[in-house]
Amino acid sequence: MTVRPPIVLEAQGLIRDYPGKGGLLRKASPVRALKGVDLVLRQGRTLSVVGESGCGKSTLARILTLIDPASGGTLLIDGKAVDIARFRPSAELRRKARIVFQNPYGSLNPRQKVGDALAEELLLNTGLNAAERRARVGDMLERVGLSAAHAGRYPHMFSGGQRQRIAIARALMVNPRILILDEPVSALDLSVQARVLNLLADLQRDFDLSYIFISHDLSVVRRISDEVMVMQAGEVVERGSRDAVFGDPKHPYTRQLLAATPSTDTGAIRARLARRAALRAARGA
Amino acid sequence: MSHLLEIRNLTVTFDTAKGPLTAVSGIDLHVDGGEVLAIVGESGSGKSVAMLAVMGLLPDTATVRADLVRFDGTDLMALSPRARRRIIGRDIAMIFQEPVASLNPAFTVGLQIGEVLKKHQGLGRAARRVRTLALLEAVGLPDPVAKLTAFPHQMSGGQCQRVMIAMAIACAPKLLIADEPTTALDVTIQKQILDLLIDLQEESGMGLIMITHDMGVVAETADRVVVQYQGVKREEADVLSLFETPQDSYTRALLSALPERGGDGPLDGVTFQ
Repeated sequence: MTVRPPIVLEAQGLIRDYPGKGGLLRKASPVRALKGVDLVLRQGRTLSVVGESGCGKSTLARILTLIDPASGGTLLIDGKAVDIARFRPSAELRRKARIVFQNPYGSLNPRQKVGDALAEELLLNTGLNAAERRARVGDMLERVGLSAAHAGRYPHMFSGGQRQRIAIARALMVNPRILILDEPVSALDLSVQARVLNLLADLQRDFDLSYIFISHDLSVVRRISDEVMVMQAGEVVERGSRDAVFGDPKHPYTRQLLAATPSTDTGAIRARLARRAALRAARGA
Repeated sequence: MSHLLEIRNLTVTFDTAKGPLTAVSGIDLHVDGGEVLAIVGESGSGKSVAMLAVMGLLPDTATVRADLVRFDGTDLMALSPRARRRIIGRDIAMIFQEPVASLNPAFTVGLQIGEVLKKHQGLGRAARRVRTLALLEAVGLPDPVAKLTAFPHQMSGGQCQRVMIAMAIACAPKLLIADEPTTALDVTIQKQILDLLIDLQEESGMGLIMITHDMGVVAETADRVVVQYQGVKREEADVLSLFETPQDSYTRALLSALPERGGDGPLDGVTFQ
């Protein structure tokens, strides 16, 4: 039996409440966006979080990257408990898990040159001098399939796919162990999506990165995940290996999601056309 | 037999600060009644622009040239904007990607659907109410009476898209153009909306043009498919042939970029001449 890779990220019973809408006389009851979520991410693996709008997947992402505090539960990064509501996390801890958002144009400052945005990470987190920072930025841009010369350009001068590469490069500047990818390819064209997915696979292998991959797109999730968890209304309704979740879904909601995902399988197309022809024949008769 | 909509050699050019930009270049298209045509392409392929040109919805910076744009026997290019507007919205209807943004936030759903019926069919107040209720029911909205007085922000994205569809089919159009109708919706809601569109299309026998970037949506809805890339039509085929035996290099590359078709190796991505 092979030794399982070490756990890099673990959550137990994560809860997140948002303040609810109250009235003048009525006390606001909080909205519980996460109702006790457990997860385990192992080094070099990809855990996908699947669900529809409002299921709490982005709330989870914000907690895992220490942007928002959890209202309850335990979060462990590299075995160390983190609670940002009580203690300010060390810079070292913050460097371990980085996030990449869906819309790279919204997450890059339009007035900041791309090279400066990347170098800023090093300025804040390392003692490197300007020349060293510039060299590291150039290396990283090339690593994600851009060129060092792109450092002097502004975000608007890039395509959507290139911008997502920049966002990935920025997240990787401080050598994190974990990337939280929140719908990273959802806004991209199919061909661009394929290239960014390939890049993510390469980077994972080369840097031994662990991914939390948040997505609503089951075709993409099926392609890149080791483990999958399905969320609905703040709860994990199903979890397991990719093959188990896709091959033998147990929860009705997982089945519903799978059934609703469009299939480009020619057998499915043939079946649909046959149903349509039968319906027409019945109508015409 | 002549087609419901026939377009020959359509070119659309935009005046931009950097000079003219050709968004659609010499495209031929046709769709028949009772048929679902999918126009598929990535951003910048001009897939929406061609249909917006037919609808006369392009801004003044656009120049539209075509040898023929004929709808139901009428040459649309020869019509005055006023005469064209009598057809648009009644015989040709369109729905868009952002249902919440497409509705007017200041008016109730009932009033907005009623407006279409008043404008194109001249129905009176009571008749409008009856017809609006029937339409809300036809698009599967729960509690249609309550929806009459509901504002768009009180409904979900999927419900707003159903309202948009109700407005579009209000005058029993001969052609419905759906521009990325489910792109902003969750996958389970997408399935419901696609099923609704196809059911309505089956029942009424109207022509349906689905503009989409999503090969899954194409596979689930289309009879025939046109693949566009950078303003040019690359391939036209019935849906099964397109997925089984794609002829064009771009179509093949696009299909190989699908996550579910890539096998175990890296995804091909689009690399072609």
